[in-house]
Amino acid sequence: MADPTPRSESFAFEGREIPIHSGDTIGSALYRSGVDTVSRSFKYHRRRGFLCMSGDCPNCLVQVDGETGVRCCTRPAADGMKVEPQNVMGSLERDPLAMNDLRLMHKFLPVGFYYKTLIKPRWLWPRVEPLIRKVAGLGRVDKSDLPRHLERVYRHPDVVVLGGGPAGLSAALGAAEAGASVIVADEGEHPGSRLGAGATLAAVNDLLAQVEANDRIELLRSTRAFGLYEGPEVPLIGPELMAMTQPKAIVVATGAFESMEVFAGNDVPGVMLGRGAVRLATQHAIRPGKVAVVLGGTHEVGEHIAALQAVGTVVAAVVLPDGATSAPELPAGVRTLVGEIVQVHGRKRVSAVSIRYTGGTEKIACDLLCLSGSLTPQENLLRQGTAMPVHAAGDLLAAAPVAESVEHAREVGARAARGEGAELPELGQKARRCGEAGYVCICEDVSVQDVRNAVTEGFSSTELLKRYTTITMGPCQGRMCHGQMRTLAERLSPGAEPRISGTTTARPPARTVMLDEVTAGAYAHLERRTALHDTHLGLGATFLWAGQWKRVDNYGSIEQEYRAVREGVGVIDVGTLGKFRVSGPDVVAFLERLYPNHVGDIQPGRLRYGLLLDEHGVIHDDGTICRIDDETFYLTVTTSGAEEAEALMIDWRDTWGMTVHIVNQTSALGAINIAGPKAREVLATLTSDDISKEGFPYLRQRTITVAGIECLAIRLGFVGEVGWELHHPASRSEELWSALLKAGEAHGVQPFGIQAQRLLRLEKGHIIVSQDTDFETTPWRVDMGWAVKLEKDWFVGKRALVRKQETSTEKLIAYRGEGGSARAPWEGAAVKVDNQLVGRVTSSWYSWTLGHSIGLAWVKPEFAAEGQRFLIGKDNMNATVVKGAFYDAEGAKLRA
Amino acid sequence: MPELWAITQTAKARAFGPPETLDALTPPAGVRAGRVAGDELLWVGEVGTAEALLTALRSQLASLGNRAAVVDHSDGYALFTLTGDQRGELFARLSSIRIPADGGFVQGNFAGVPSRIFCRSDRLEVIVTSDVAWFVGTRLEHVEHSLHAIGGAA
Repeated sequence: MADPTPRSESFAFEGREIPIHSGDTIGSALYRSGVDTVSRSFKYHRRRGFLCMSGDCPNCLVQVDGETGVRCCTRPAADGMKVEPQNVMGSLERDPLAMNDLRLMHKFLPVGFYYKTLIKPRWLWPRVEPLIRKVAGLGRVDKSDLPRHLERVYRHPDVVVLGGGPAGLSAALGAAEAGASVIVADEGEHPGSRLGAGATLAAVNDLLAQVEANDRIELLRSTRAFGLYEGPEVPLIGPELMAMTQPKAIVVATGAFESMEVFAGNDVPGVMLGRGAVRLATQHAIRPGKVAVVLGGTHEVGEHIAALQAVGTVVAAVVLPDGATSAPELPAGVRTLVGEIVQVHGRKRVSAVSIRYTGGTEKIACDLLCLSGSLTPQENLLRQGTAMPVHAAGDLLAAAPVAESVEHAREVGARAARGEGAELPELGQKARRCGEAGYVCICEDVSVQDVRNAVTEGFSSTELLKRYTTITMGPCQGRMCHGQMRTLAERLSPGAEPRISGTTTARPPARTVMLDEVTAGAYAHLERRTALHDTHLGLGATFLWAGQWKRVDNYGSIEQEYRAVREGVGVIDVGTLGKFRVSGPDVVAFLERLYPNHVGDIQPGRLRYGLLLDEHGVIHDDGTICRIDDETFYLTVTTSGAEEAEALMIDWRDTWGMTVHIVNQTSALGAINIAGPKAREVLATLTSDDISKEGFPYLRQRTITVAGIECLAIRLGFVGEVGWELHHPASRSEELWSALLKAGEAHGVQPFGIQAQRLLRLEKGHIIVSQDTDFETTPWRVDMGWAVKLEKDWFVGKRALVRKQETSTEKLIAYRGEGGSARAPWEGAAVKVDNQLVGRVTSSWYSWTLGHSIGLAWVKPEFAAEGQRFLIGKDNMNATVVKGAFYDAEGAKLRA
Repeated sequence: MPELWAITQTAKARAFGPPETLDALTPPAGVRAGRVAGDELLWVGEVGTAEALLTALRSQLASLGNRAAVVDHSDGYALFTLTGDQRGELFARLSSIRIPADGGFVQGNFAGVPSRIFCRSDRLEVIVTSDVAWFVGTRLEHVEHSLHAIGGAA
């Protein structure tokens, strides 16, 4: 017998101070303080008292310091806690929503009432729904309760054992003795902590000592499994870590609990599962009731009666089920009846029990009804893993005295370790009994009559019953009601095929899981940085996300950065570009198939713009194709496009069986673009190579040495000015960047960020893939037919492009905004003609050079002609469709 | 300062070619070799040896001409060395990869990014692309902190 001693600690429950004794859970402390009703039911707000005391049922859900859905029967009590009941309006004793439980109200709130009542007139539901939502739900989320950053750890034991009872510990020892590495997880802080004194606890303590001495076994305390996943993979949630275990075999030894019996008044406080009442008595030295009636049937009933008597509970009678042929060994002097319980009397708490037995019907006064009639295996996890190497042990397999169970479990553990076949029980068994009245599902307040009604309405099979009535879908996830539902389904559809009363599918989570537990170890946001990141920080840069990359948004003044490029010289870090070295004997044939334009005629030292398409002809990415030598190319793709482009290229190469080496050099190489009318002057101070207009013209590339650093210099014009992209070893980025800035000082060089670059390229009419394109954008839609050569025999996407040539439903157009306002419409703004929506803006800027707004927009083809006028955005800015680039349409500046 | 891990400067070279040829390549003494794919090989040597690695690879693959390719990837990869008794635990907090008991080269997800791992008797060498080195470093730092805070065992 436990001897809990009072501690000078307490917690608050509905404003009442509840003293704590040593070893107390919140539930035991409440019960000791005389709290019978701990919460209210979900729908009818019926009183909910303690039932299982093991964390299996839904009755004792409370809110603890803002955490909702806490089963207070297993949560250790702590000083200063604030505990609130759930599903309560007002207070536990004065809950106005308890009127839902009036017989009249039941008529208005049958199962599925939201499908068929309050629907007409149509205005009714929108008014009622918010009220229903307000009173429904389990607890109130405390928004100040920030999620924890839990870490995740991966484990690869040979065997995982779920449950640290006698069978679980014994199975772990059996597996370890067979040479396996074992993890055994138990929900309690100490295995056996939920057991009362007796043979079972003695067995656990003995086994626990052996487990702790065994080097092959790792014992995880206060740890629960919430599902079995393919692999197999078993997530185990502990107090500070989530252990993702990937074992070769699993032993489920989660035990059993007494079956919830169905009869009138079966949910009244004072009805308790036998082991629950015994836990109160033996672990916490609490008298569960003054006078008890015990429904017997399990091999433990004698122990239960003895435990109750030991704390002063008078056992008025033991009711053994009809047909019981051999009475269990009971303490002397206990009255025994053979029959069934038909009704529990009492509203706030059990006041009497009516029993029908061979000699008639009798009403026995009592304040406690212990249900020890039969055991329901705790099989939620086991049912999830039937296609995996999963073994069952202990009560889950077959209820038996502890010595037998321990011996058998040891062999189960050894078999699991040896990879032998598993012995599994019949899963999802029907309940042995189910009365004609009472609640089948105490989570969702579904009564026998509700089930009867549902079957009458045609929802007769268990799968339909589950969905229509929500039986098995509440916090207990069917532990208390799955077997009863099957029994009822069979009874209410006599002679129907077995499917009608079949088991429903068990899915994770089998135990409560918090959202921060699900995301354990996965809270970090992958961030890619170029080698110049810290340098940019030093220059006062602000950053933005570009896919997984952090790129410079601006260095303080977008206009200043923009003007530097247009009027002097600017440098931008473009190290985020995807960069590939592609070579091999089949490389030309490979690239000809990959790109829609010609590749084979690109001469070494030259380059060409290229689109990457998918099989649907949709633009996947874009970039440059540089030919280094006959069989070596250097390709670039957009920022954040490298991984997908690499996968795409490797996939096609392998499909075509070509000898091509694809080397992703994105992280190995940095890239800096120097651009502007004075770019050549600045660069010339750092290189002795010929970079003159004639010596290094537009759309050429070659290796040059800049500030002593070997660079692949690519002459491009994304921003519309003379410029070179300098691709170089990433370890020398900082050196090169500094040299360029120093050399450009005399010319007012300015580092520029993404925002300035976006305007600069927009003035040239260049698109940005994924900003100005979407998952349906073909080259036709963006007027880039010039990048597609249909005369080629074949390339990725050709067939689709041929088919789609005349079927564009949208076109990307460039527009010029009217009015001198420096405000540009938002990207995404509506494009309207005659007050009708005809498109949307994708890129929008005010051009300081042009003195008006410019942008790109998707519009219907009939509105895409040059000169078409429309209004944009909520300010109805006038705009006109224009053709060609806004700036330097002839390209004279970038070719200079 | 981290106690369980460090970024180690090393030379890295990648070689591409026919599988049977890559199978036959012999790394210089002290160089770790990992087979990344059927047609790709990774050599990792001490810092400053990149040229030597490239020369060794090129000479052994010279007969293949453009059917093989060799590149210096020293800047492209960052190598994290995990040491100490808790290196396995540190690794297990960031990766589901099962470390082979007898060592060797494995690949997979580490801290949410693709990685190549040399499992050595006294250390784990985790290679990731250098653009995520900062991110992986912060993850290691965080996990090391939590290891110190809550102990090594799950």
